[in-house]
Amino acid sequence: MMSSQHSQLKFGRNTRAQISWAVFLVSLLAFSFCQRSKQKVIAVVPKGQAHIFWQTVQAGARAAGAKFGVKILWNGPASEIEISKQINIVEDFINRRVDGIVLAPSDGKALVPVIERAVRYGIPVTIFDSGAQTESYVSFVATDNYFGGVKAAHRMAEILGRKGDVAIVGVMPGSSSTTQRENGFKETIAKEYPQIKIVAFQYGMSDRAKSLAVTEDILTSNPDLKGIFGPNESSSIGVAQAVKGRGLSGKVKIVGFDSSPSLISDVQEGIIDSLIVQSPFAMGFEGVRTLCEKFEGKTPQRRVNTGVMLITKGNLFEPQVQQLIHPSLEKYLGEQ
Amino acid sequence: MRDLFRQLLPFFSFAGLFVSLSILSPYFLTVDNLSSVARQTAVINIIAVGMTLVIISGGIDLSVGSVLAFSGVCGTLSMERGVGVGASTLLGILSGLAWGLSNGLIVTQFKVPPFIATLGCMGMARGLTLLITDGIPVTAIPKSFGRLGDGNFFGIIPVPVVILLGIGVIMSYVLRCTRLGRYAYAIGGNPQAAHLSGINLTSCTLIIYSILGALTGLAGMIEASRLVTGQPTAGDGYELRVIAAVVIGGGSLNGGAGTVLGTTVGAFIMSLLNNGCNLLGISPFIQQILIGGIIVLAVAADELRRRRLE
Repeated sequence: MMSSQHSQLKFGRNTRAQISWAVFLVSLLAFSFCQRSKQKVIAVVPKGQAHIFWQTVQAGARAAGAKFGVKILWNGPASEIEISKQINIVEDFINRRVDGIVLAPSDGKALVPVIERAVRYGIPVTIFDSGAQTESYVSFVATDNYFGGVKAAHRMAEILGRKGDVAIVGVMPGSSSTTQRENGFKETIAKEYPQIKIVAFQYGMSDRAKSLAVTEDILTSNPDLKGIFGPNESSSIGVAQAVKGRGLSGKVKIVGFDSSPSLISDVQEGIIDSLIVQSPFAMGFEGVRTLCEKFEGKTPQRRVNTGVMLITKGNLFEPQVQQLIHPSLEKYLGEQ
Repeated sequence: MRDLFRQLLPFFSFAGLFVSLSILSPYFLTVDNLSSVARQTAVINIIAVGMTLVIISGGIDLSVGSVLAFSGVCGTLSMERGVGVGASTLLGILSGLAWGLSNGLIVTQFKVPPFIATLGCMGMARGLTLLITDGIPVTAIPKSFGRLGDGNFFGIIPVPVVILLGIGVIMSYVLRCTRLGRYAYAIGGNPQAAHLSGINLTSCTLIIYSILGALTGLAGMIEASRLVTGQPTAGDGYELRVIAAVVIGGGSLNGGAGTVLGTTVGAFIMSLLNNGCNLLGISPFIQQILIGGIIVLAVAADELRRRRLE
């Protein structure tokens, strides 16, 4: 008698576990019903999710989706270093037979097999932001990154009076877009400004905290430093925080890359002299547009340059700049 | 009877998930997709099989993610220097084994708790990987190496899956039928009793960590092959996914419990969830919440059973 009571009690617990599974599956079901439609479907895969930059890409992609009447699916790894996760996501989109893929490859070589696989399955792929070592894409939509680096170098030379020690807090090795910016900066300084010396070059690994730590070390070992170049959002933020923390604002000039609310407020306060700003919104928009053109049987432009702009305290409030740095994210991302 | 039901829980969950995804998504039950899912799981799964052995013996290894990157980079660097694909792959596996052995030595010789010992090696292996590569991915790799991670047998069965199957069978046999396997359960169940009954704890622990190290090395080579590059940042966070697979599959972090088959099913449950969410267009943020929730559920179920037994 005792033992049968016991086993009943136990069965109840197992049932509970099964119920929780059932609840979970029902929620899966509920989600899936929101996903049925017959429009063309374009998957947009960023390198990561954590930067405002990628959210702005998403806003651009959704704006294009709304304009051209295609459905946008957005999915990417949490951070830029999760390369195999990004491959998995693209594979799953291929298996799901989306009509097109817009991809920012987190590694120029590792993503090539999966890009070529998509093309074999008849799914056109547009590459954005960073290049990939393949020819199997429809369009390449990106900033002229090298030119962005050149522009940063000229600005740095201008504010330093063409002389002094500078440092670069790089993003991470292997990332082609940011490497080009770093090269554009380095080569312009070396060629055109012989009195400016690049005394330190360290990687912040696309991470604010690491960029901050690296900058602190550079400041410690180079007391005469006059300027620092940060070639993306995380590097620029890390550099700005380190310079602020050491009380060197204004003494060590910063030229950054990309924009975010905190970077813009640093420009306003004079901690950052200037930012080279790309248009992630245009990248998302143009990426989707090239595929829509392809669907209509047209041949989209092979290389789409989305441009850069120099933002300083002086031009911060011009309407053109405001639109670039404050794209209305809520307008496009709110309705997901 | 009770225990049987608990052991079967992961299988029921797996079957339930499989059936519901087949109903929910027309793309799920396709050869392409199932072969991708299996391929996506293989790397984590191969490490998880080794981790099962470690966890059964009452240990843990947090260094596997870093060791995976180290092995991948060692193997690809050797290919870059002109060594053959086979020999380089072996070198990758051996470099993983070396880390496993170091973990075992630190645990047995210096009596550092496994959590701390392997946490230390996690940092050292990652740092060393970044140091020898200068943080730059190794790219000059022969095309034939791609077959290890991306190839198929008969056009549909991914090579890594066949490797996983072989390892699963061997390790299952080791756990059930060999002295080492039985000792692992004994050590995890009660180390003092195991010691007093004459089991050589030191050599067992060394072998157990070395096996995990070698399997991690192999997984590192498969990952490198799949990425067509040796990535110094590869495997970030894999240790947690591997441990989660073992735990979902019925392994207990208190030691003494776990099976290879359970772990494999645990790893498949996680990748089915990822795949299902991707196919159904569920936000990646929700995926993380789901997997986190399932880990908690699995461990809670384990604890409930423990309390009932007492």
